This record gives sequence, structure tokens and C-alpha cells, in this order.
Amino acid sequence: MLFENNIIDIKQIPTQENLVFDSLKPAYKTILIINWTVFFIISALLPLTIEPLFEIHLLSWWLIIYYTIVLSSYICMLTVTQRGFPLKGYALREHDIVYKTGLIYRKNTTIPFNRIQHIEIRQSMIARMLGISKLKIFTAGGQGSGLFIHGLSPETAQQLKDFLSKTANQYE
Amino acid sequence: MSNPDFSIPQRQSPKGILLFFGLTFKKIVKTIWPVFVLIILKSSSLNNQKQAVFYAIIALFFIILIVNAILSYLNYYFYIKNEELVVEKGYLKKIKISIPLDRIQTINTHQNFIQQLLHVVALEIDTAGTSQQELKFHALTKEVAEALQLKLSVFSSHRSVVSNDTENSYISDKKTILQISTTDLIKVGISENHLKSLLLIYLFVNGIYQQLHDFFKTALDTASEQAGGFLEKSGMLFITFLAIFFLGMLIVFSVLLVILQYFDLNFSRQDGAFVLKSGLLNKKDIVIPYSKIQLISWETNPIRKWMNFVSVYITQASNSQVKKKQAIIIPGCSNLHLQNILSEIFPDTDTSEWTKHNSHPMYFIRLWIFRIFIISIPLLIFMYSYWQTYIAILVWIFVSAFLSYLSYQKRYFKINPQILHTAKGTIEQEFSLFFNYKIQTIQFKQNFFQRRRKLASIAIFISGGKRIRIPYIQEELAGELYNYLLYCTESGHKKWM
Repeated sequence: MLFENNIIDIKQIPTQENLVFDSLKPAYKTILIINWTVFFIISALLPLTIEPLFEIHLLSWWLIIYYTIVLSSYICMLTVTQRGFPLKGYALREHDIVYKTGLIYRKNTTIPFNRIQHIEIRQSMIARMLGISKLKIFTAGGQGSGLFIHGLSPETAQQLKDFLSKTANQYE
Repeated sequence: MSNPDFSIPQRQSPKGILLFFGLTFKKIVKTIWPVFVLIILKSSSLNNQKQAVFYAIIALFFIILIVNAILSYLNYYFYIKNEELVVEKGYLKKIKISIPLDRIQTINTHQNFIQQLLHVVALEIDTAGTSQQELKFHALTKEVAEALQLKLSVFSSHRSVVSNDTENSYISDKKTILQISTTDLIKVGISENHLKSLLLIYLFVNGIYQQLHDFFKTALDTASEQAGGFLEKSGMLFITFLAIFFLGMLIVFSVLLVILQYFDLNFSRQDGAFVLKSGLLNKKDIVIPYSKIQLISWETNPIRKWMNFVSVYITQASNSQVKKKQAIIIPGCSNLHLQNILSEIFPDTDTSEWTKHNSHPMYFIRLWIFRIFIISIPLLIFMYSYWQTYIAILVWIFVSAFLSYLSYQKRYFKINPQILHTAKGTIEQEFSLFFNYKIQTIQFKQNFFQRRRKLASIAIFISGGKRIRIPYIQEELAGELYNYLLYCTESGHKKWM
């Protein structure tokens, strides 16, 4: 029991538990995999550049350990991305928007419509090629309080933005 | 006092010319001072003709600055039109800024040393949210500044509070809540966190050292060599003396810093707003309308507890960036003062009856493990060379257990239908109160280990850059809290600012 003596019945409050989430476009998973792959390639090439640049001879067993770590963490990240992707999603409710994420570290972020400050649509170069956008929703809560919704089709992003801006303006 | 009419465009005080001049001069000197040093050093070796050219350049530089100051002053207008504060400035590049009055967050005045000499005040206007516009008047006469401040603050607070007051209700009661004497400030200074002053001194000395280093390299080297030799000879006794001396200096420094900052502090209540005045060299005057207040917190530590006072912090709505200088701190509040401040804002401030929700003991484990690792891993480098490292790590394991237990015990939250109350701390303890509906964003977090034990953490973001964490509580309780806070935020029609 959260607290006693409340006027409204706490069980009547809308909950998040049985919420149905819209999933994100699979193209976003491709972007995540591309990101990890780029990171992996850079890490794999790193030792090759150290030898000629700094004239340090790396012992072979160091390299073996290094590559084992890099490769296994790459595989690990790919698995997490693959398994975690279906868990990402967003949901619109009557009064707020929810974004959830996470396989190992689960996180639900909610922004009430009447706290939205402004909304942006962003699209990176790769995202443009794959035909997806992301939406950023800002509140006055400062660093970390914003909400990114990744992997939306440009039309959905625009529709969402229009809907949210319109709704948020009603509270002005 | 004649009431200035803000509907017609007007300029700042003519003394503003001096300030415009000074500001540009400061800005230019700051960026190109090495050139100046070079020129002055080189000037003696120049022949007469070149010297004349050199002086001419300097004279021209000053003339340009003076003309710039005059033109800037003449082209700087401000007025209120259509419920907007409009500022027009610039002569080469014309800039027009208009800020809707209801967007104005805070209106602060302050006076630095020069402004005190000139009898003018600076007025800073901060706006809400994303547009990140900020306005600063550098030189207003005291009357104009006060009138403007009153006009703007009344307007913005009328907007956000219920607007059934009549126009003239603001010429009303001003009540001092607390006035801090210099002796109280000395107490506050002694109870400060001295690590902060240590850092300040370090940065200050380091900055000076870096600058002087090149000039006096040789002199410093010999001096430090001598000092080193001296240290070796006199040994432990001297080091102990030095440490005590240094600690004493730190305390004196802290006390001086506190007196400079909070000299003659007066905290009062005036028509729906708090007014904070303080400062010796830099005078501050901050108006905080009640509706802009997001959270009130107060901090105590063992020394403060013994001296029987707390420091109060007021967080108000501001731009997304947290500005340290805008944090409102009222040091040296007695419990009675604290109650007076709190009861001004909150309908119910006695939290002793509310149910207390502690974090789960797992929170202690997590803190402990984290603290052990954060200190031990860097220490591992010394493990081969010094066997003492093992003892240090062992001692730390016990000390961190104690500290983590304190942190775990001091962390809790309480809630009633309107207000959320949280507490945290280790040696010190910080309490806070805020209205449930003032949240901006809320997060429900659960890592793998928490999920297995049916625990969760809540993070709440409120305006003014403050984040409140409620870690490691029962999953079900976290869910209820999450849903209830959202319900409060979404169902009410109360403005958060």
C-alpha cells in the first residue's frame, strides 16, 4: 500500500502493466547492428595501427586475449540487440506517451502530454537510406529527461509529431 | 518616486556607456591579451617613428571602443508592448528580442563592484524552456530596475497563479522570514563542506601557477628544491604542522567565502514570491514567485545538527541547463525558519505521520559492491609494488560497508495525496519536498538482478535540472508510485509553473 487514507482508489488509476506497445521498424535493428559492426571493426583494427605508429611490439598472447574479448563482446552485443529488439516499443495513451526498452536493463519512460516542451524529427544519413526517422520529445526536466523514439517510418514520425504538438498546445 | 512608463521605448542609464565600454574592453583583453603583452615588451626596442604608429593604433583602438560604447548605448531600447518585453539593440547588426511576459521565469538583479560605484544595477531575465533566450540589462537605475522587476514578476505570477487578484494587491505586505547575522554566517562557514574549498583553492593556485610558471621558472625551481630539502630535514613534525595549518586555512577560506556570498542575507516574503537579498561585493536580489518553485530541499550534517541549523535550497523552473549561480541557497536556517518557508508553499509539512518506505537491503549490497570496486580497481596497480595495498583494500571494505549502510538507512520516501517527500545522504542528509504534479518525466527501471528479486527503481525529472531517484523498492510499490504520480500530473489542471 503506497499510503493510507486516499480519496481515490489507487486500483482505479490507469496502470502500465497491460499496455500494448507498438513495435519499432526492423530497419532500426539494422542500424543498431551496423553501429556495433563499425565499432567492432575499429576495435579489431586498433592493434594493427599501434605497432607501426608507436613502435611497440605487442606480444602474441596479449593479442589473443584482446581479440577474444572483442569478438565475444561483439557476439554478445549482437545477441542482446537481436533478443532485445522485440522488447523496444512505444505506446500512446490518453494523456501520455510511453517508451520502453531493455533486455538486461529494462526501462519505461513516460512523458505526460501536458509536460511536452517541443518535438523534433531527426534522421541520420544511414537512417535516410533505410527510410526511418526518430522522434525526440523534450520536457523542461533537463538532461536525460527527453525521450527518443527510434525506428519510425517518416510518415508515422510526422503524424506523431503533429498529434503531440497539437495535444501539447491545448494545455498552454 | 516617479513611476517609469514602460510602454514607450527607453534607454538604460547613461552610465551604461561606461559599462558597455568596460564589457567590450574586458572581452577583447581576455581574448588577445598575449598580443598586448608582446607589444608592450617590444615597444621599448622600437624607433621613434614606429612608436608613434604604435601609440596611434592604441589610441584608435580606444576611440573605436568609446564610439562603440556610445552607439551601443544609444541604440539600446527596451519597452513593453502587447504583453511582450521587447529589446532592440545593435547599430551595425540590428537585433530585436521580444519575450512574452508569461514566459519569463526569473528576474534577478545584482550589482558588481563597479555597478555599486556607479549606483546602477544589472537585471537578468531568464525565460522558460527551449527558446533559451536570455536578457541582461547592464545598467539600470535602481528605481527603473525595481519598477521593472515588480511589473514583470507581478505579471508572470498573476498569469500562473489564479488571476482573481486586483491590480493593486501587490503593494502589500512584505514580511522578513529570516535575516542572517555575520556571526551566524561564521557558523555556516565552519560547517561547510571543506572539500569544495580545497578544490577551489587548488584550481586557483594551479591557475596562477600555470601562468607564472613560464616567467619565473628558474626562481620557482630553486625555491621548490630548497623547500624539498627543508621538508626532508624537519620530517613528520613539520608535515603535521603543515596539515593542521592547511586545515585551518581551509576553514578560514570557507568562512570568508560564505561571508562574501551571503553577507547581510535577507529572505522575505512579498505578494506570492520569496525575495532573497545578499552579497558583499556582488549584491544579489532574486525574486522567486511561488508558482515557479519546483522543489524545496534542506541539508543537514553532524556539525549543522549540533549547531541546530540547516541549509535550504530552492529549485525553480529554469532553462534545461542547470545554472549553478541561479541555485537559491539560504544557509543558516533554524528549524523554525525552515517550517516558515515550507508552510508558505506546502499545505501540509508534517511528514512524521506518513508511511515511510525504505529501499530494499539489496540497495545496501549494490552500493557496497560499487564502492569497493570503484576504489579497489585503481589500487590494483600498486599491488605488486606495495604489500600495504592489501591492508588498504581490506580497511576500505569495512569502511565502505559502514558508509553504504548509512546511505541505505538514510534513503527513504514518503508520500501523501499531494506531496512527495524524499531523503538521502551518507554523512550528511538531504530532504526534499515537492508537489506530485510537478514531475516532467518519470522512469521505471529494472535491471536483471532487480527483476529476479521483484525490485525496481524510479527516476523522476523535474524542472530546474533536478533528478530524484527512488532506488530499489518493491516492484509493486514502484508501479503504484509510477502510476499515481502520472495520475496526479495528468488529471489536475494545475500549472507546473
